[in-house]
Amino acid sequence: MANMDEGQIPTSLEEVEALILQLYQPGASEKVSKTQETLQKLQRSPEGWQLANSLLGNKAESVRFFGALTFIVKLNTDAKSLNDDDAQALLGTLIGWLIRCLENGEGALVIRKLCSTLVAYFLQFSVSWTRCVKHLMYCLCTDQVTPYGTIEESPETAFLIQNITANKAIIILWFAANLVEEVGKTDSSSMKQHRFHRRVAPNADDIVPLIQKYISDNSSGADSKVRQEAMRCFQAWVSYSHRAFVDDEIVLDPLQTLTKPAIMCLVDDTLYETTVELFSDVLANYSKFLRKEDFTLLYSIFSSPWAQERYERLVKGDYDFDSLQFGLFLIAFGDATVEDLIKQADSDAQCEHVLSALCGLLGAEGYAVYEDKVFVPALEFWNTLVETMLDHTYSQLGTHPSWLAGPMRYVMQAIQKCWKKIQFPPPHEFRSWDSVDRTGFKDARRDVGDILESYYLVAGIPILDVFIDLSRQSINAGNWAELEASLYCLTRFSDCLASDKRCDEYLHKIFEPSLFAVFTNPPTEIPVQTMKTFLALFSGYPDYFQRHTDNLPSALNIAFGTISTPALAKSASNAIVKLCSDCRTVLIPELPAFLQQFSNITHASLDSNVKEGILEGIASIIQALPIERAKVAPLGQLLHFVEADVERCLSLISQQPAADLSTLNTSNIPPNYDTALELGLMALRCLASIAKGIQVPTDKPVDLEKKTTTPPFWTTGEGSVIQQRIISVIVRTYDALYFRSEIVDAACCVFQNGFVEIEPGPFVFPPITVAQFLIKSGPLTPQLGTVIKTACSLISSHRSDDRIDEVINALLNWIAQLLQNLGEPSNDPEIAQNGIDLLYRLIPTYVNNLLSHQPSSLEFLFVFTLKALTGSDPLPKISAADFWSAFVSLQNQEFPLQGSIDAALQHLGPLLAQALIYNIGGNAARSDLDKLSEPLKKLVVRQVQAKSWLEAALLGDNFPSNKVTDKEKMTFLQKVVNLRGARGTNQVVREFWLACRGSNFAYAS
Amino acid sequence: MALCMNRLNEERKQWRRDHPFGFYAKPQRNAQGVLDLKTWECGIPGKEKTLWEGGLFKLSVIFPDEYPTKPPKCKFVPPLFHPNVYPSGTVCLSILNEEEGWKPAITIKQILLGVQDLLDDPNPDSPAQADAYHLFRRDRAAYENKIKRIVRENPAP
Repeated sequence: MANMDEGQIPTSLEEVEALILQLYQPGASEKVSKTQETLQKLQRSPEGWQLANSLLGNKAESVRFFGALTFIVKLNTDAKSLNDDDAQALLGTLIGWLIRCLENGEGALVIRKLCSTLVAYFLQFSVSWTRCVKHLMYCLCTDQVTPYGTIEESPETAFLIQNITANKAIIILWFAANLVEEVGKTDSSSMKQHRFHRRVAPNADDIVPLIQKYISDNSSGADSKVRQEAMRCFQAWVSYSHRAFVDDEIVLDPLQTLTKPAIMCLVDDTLYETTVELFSDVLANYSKFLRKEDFTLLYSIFSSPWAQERYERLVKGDYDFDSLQFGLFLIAFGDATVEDLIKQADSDAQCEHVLSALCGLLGAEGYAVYEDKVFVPALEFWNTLVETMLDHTYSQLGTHPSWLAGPMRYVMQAIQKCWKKIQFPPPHEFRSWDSVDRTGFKDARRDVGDILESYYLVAGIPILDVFIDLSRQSINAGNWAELEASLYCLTRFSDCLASDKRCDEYLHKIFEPSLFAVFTNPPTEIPVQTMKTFLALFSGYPDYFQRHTDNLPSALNIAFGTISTPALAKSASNAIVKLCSDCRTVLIPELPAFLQQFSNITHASLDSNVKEGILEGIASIIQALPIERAKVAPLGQLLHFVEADVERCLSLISQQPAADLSTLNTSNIPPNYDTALELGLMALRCLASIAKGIQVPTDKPVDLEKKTTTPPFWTTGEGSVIQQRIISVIVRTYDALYFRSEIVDAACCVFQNGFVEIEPGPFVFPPITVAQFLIKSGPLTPQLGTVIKTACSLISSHRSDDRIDEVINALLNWIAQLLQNLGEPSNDPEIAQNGIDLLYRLIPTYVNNLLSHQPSSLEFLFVFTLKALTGSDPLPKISAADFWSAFVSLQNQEFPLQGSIDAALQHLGPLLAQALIYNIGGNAARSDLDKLSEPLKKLVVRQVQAKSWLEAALLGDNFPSNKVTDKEKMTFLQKVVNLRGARGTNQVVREFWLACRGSNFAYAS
Repeated sequence: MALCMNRLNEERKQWRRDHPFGFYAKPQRNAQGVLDLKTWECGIPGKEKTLWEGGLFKLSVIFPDEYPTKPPKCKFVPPLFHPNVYPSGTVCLSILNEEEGWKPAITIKQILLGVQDLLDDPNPDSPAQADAYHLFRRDRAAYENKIKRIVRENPAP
């Protein structure tokens, strides 16, 4: 034994037996895996067949099991070593063992494994063992192994079955079920290769009568075990028949004769679980299998007292596995018959019965998901039903189908039940659920909302009345959870009808003084969730408030009133932003009141984003003021709030001992700066929100003819005091906290909001003012990339300005300095990318400024972009490609500018060609190829010398691949030149790149 | 085209029957009630125990006529701050690339789960937007703060 522990191959059967027994003993996992390894070696050895046979005769069950397993291993790995005779002999051996097992009263473990072995045999030798079920049946019935060749002489299957014993029947059922399960698992290519479906199909004729014997009426008093196996076997065959139908359109019609008796087995408790699973599965996936008479029978089953009893149990809250299975069965039936159900909802008693039952499932006991496990699947059925109704309603133009009223009645009932189901439990109870149940419950609410949205398209606006009435009832009853559910349902229609005036007469009934009164002075405390949903209702219907301004103040008062409650602040600020922005013009008279409101709550510790929301809302009302001058005072007031935060921020900092700010960064900031930082950040973010609110709405028409003759009210006129205050807020905060990336980010964001404006405005600064701020940043500024990006936006956004050359030159000097400081693009790809992007934005308007830049610095910039093009960082590479596409395309510029451009290109063209070919020759990533093709196309179109530049690059020493010949390179070049910049170039580039990479790089498809 | 529609109908059925918690996905319907099976509106929740937990992000999935031979296009609406999301909102993910990992057998469920995984596990090798990519590479703490803010702005209901 000692040598075996070292993993050596045992030499005697006894040693193998000992090893197997050891394998099934509990023990150290390392030892087990070693033993297993040794045994696997044995199984795979040429003696494996012999070994398997010997082990099956062993006295220990686990050893016999291992023997059967060894046969499977051999069949799967070594079947090719057997010739036809060997194969026939092996079949005889295996069946012989099964017969012996029966005689010896062998247990299920070994017998099942032997059945699997026979299936493994079939998978290898199906050609010579096609009628396998009949052959096995014959051998077992006669207790002797008969050669397969004599199968034609054997008695009829029906005769064999008549006298078969239950034990033998079970073995055949196991084998037959396992057969189709395994064949069903084979992948489609080997399925085709072996034509398995054609070979399995004839066996249906043999297995069906056997199954029938046990699942049909049980007057013979057969043992429940064999009946269960018969049903399981039927299940396996039906499921397999779906695959055979999908793959080869084979209908195993003998199976269909079993459907009726199988349905009847539902009422038999011992067969229920398998049967109900079988039919749920067939109805859901393969309802074509069932014939008309099967459906008739199922309808009557659902009307039977048996179904009634099961149904009652379920809806009363029994969610045990078998009970829930019944619900899923009913739902699957509904899914399969949904077309009939909607069309005959009014005319057929059985359809009505099923619809009522399905509706009732939505009202089962308990909270959805947390307790009630049938609600979500039932909801999905109703979703399908409504969608199906919709498909019919809209497929016939202009006319609604005549049957529509029938299903609508049921959908209304279903919706009522859903309304009850989506009501939140008391808050403390909801909090006690685990997160999966809470998410599940909210998901279910959203699914209910989906049904409502779909159903609205069938039922139209009057559906609102249902929830309006329910809301009124809940208010009267003081039931907040019910009210919340009604309001939630109303919010769900807002996407469908917010801008539809016809909804006003309905919404009047909900948005009316008594309701607002309830929310302003509730008789008992209103739960947060109810309040939240009420606020969401405002955000959902801003158009209504725009049309009916009398309710607007009440709505906004409620929103302002709840803003200091942390759990509601976000919803309240959403409602404020939405209502202020959408109703800005009508709210102008309320502006002083809002400023007062804000002043009242600003002392409360509001979350920054809540404050930002309110300021944005108020700013949007200021935007609506018709005269610019009138905006100054209220804006001044808003700024005052922001300035207060800045003062607090600065005073906190000044109280701290002086620190060397230049060495501060995210990681070593002293903790006492945290509050100051928060205040500073809030100030800048609030400023950005005001800038956003004050933007002219994008849906306002733009007068293209209009010349900008507006006096410079905001920049040098009366409004300039506002601009100065804004700049002061930005600069003071930035100067105090410039070492924090969030501050830099937030400051840039304020400017960005001004760039998008078309008209002059308080946040539209003179470009020089912005530039002066931006160029204060240097290599140590965190978020420098964002600063450069802001400079890019400034360049692209500017309108005519006297000092624009000054601005551009200042930015150009600044960026040149930054990039020189950086040295190589790879030292900081972010700076490199944004820097190159800035150069790109200069083309074509400011190309003169670029070319007039200090010559040595200009050369550095060009070389820098070429380095980025050949570098490995993707984003600088793409920016450089954009830059060069634009630069190469420049033409027809004024004298002497075009001359300078041409001269520069004489010098740079060959280098650009080299950089592009270096990429296309295999160095670029596949995803960059399209971008890199652009400058190549432009080069070919615009530059006469392009061909010679590219040729030199292709044949030069820097060409990165040795996988293409010079001839292939020239063919590529010729193709590119012939295409003259056409789109096809991209494909040619792609193919050449693949060739340079070597063909084995191609993605496997 | 017929193949595309059959497959989408099947996908819809499968999704109804079984979909992961917190997600939603449904074909859009226009105001007249006509269903557009080729444009789905989906929601991707942030994964539990990640920075993205508690957020829900709206994604449009647009199927081409050649689907499932060609992959659908996934687009965050509004565009999402993430290294592998283009400024337009389009998601850059290998399984959605015809030339890379797309296989016709990939289901909508797998796509949405793939996009969810991508949220917390960006691929620095294929940047799609500069802002998020650079911040992710340069200053992880600032990146995480930014994500937290985005999650707060897009809370799951």
